[in-house]
Amino acid sequence: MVSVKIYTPDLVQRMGWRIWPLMIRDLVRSRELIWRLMLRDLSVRYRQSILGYAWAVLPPIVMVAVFAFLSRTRVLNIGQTSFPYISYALWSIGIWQLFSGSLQASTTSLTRAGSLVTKINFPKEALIFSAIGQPLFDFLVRLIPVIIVFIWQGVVPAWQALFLPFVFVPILLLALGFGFVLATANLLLRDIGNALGIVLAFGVFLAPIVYPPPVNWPFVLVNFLNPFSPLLIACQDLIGTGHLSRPGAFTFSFIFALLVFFVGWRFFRTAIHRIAERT
Amino acid sequence: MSDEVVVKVEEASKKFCKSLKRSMLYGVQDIAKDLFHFRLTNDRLRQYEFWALDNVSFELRRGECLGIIGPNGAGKSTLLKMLGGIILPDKGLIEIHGRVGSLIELGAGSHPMLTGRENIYINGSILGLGKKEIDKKFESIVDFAKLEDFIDTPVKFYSSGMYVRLGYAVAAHLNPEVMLVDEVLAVGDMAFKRKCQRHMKDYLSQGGAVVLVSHDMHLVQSMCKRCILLDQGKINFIGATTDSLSRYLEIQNSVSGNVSKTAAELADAPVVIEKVDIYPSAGDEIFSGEQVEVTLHFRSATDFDPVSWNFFIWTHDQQVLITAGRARFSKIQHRISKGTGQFRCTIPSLQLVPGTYALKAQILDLEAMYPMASFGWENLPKYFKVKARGHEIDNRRVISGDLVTMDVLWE
Repeated sequence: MVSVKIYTPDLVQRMGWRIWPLMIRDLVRSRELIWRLMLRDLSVRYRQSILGYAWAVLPPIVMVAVFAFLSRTRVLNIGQTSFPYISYALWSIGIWQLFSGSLQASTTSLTRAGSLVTKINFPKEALIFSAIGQPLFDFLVRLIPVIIVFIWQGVVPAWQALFLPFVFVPILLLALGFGFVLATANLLLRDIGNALGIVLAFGVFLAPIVYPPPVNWPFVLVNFLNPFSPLLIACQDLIGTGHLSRPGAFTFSFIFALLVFFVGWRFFRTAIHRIAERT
Repeated sequence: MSDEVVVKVEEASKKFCKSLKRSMLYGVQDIAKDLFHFRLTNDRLRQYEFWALDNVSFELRRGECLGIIGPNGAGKSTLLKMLGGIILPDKGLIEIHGRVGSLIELGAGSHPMLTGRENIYINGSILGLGKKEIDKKFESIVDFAKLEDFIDTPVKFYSSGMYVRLGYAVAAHLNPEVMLVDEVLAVGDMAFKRKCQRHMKDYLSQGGAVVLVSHDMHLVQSMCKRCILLDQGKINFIGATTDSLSRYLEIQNSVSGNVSKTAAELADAPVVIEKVDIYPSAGDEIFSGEQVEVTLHFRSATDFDPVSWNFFIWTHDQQVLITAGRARFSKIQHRISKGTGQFRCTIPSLQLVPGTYALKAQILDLEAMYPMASFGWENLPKYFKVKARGHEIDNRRVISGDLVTMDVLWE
């Protein structure tokens, strides 16, 4: 029994909603490919490097050190965080880098794959999904200094921290959803990838990462307008107090992330044929 | 079963855009139309667009190897990409029964820092093989590629031939219903090329189907019974390989006129061959096995003595077939005197199989053995057709790819 594939100009339109089961099926089928691509990226990354995984750990430590110094010397008035500042900032930066790293990696995944996109037919979502392997792994590596600092500052996470994976899921889905769209756009216009770098460099200040969630107007906006902020604040709450300080915003962000993910994925499936012929 | 259609292409067309900026704009428009279910207008050309592939139809059956030939930019790779499902046609329909294996750009998924072993697994899973399947076939893949000694070396230290071998070996173990092969065997050495050809033939005899894009006339001739000649996106010819190749070479030769030296450029030389001709001693057409004459017309600015002349018969795909020159100390001496003149000779029996051939010639300075003038290298050679007297045996020779005949006294 052989499968019959029919390619016509209106393939995507003709499929309509039936594209969804196909997308799910392709995802299930390519789980091994995704895993393999993740392993490939991981094993390649530090093959020509002596410091190796130190490169994943050093930048956030340097950044936190700078802010801790500025805060100590009263150059910046950072304010009171829900648990000791260095632990708070290091943990928050870890979450931020998980998000920004995933977004950046998935955005550039198609261009990095080169002729694979234009020459071989395979579920290309695999490239996007596998791109988050690296930031996920880096996150785990960065947990080591985080744990050391927690012990040093005597921070004991609330037992509700066990629910953290439920917050990581929307964070990754949000990054993937944007990633689907940006990766496709980046194939046409390389500006997208470059611009994203700048936006993310600035973005670290558009969420309560190195400072506590603001309470004064208009700065309080960063807690709501940035869809990432409520997810980040949830991560901080689960370590610090153990209960969500902004459950409404969190629920909204959660749903928003799911929406972005599915819309982005659907867009990707529609656009990839059209883009593959133009790159 | 054996004549079951595996690929059906019906009036497929594909358009591309010449302008990069327009191309992006059109891309965005098309995606929006797909997303919001607006009516597609793929069948009309917008500004700066052209048909890269125009109204192409054919069928491919099990056990068949279809060659796709044509000049650069004819749309061959576009067609393969559509068959592979990477891009969609703008008009028409493509139907594929079963799994498609692409040998397009082998090792596109290879990473230079990874070892051969790791790359086999990566390439395999990109092409749709599971880990267990690869485990099972691993030994056979490595053996096919003859890379036992280098399997744990990063592929960036591989030679380009090793790279191709690795890629082919993986794709060869896919067992797809249809295999798309795009000009990839050119890099491998002779032994590996033979191996690939053998593999493809085995695969065909087991009911596989191959679409082969190549500029290697010999490969096409030995693999394919049927060919499509694409030219500027259209099917120029579809039929037996020998006929397709002849048509292709006719196109190529008419194009190569552009690069030949002009008469004025050649006129600067002291000796110029103005014309080379071959014609039958009797009648109008050249027939295999009959007497023909070769003449060479030259023009010279001064006297030369002694000189010699040679003629060459090449196959129309630019392979040397026969070189006819005279021995250096032959009794017959030629000389060139100022003005125009001609050399001639007779071939009592032209032992060529029916087909098209190219005639080239040279005038040599006999003392220095240096060619003073040549015809057919920098300008177009003289093409001539050899016909058969309608004997059945001659047609058989054409089909089997023979070039020359010889008299045999059977006992």
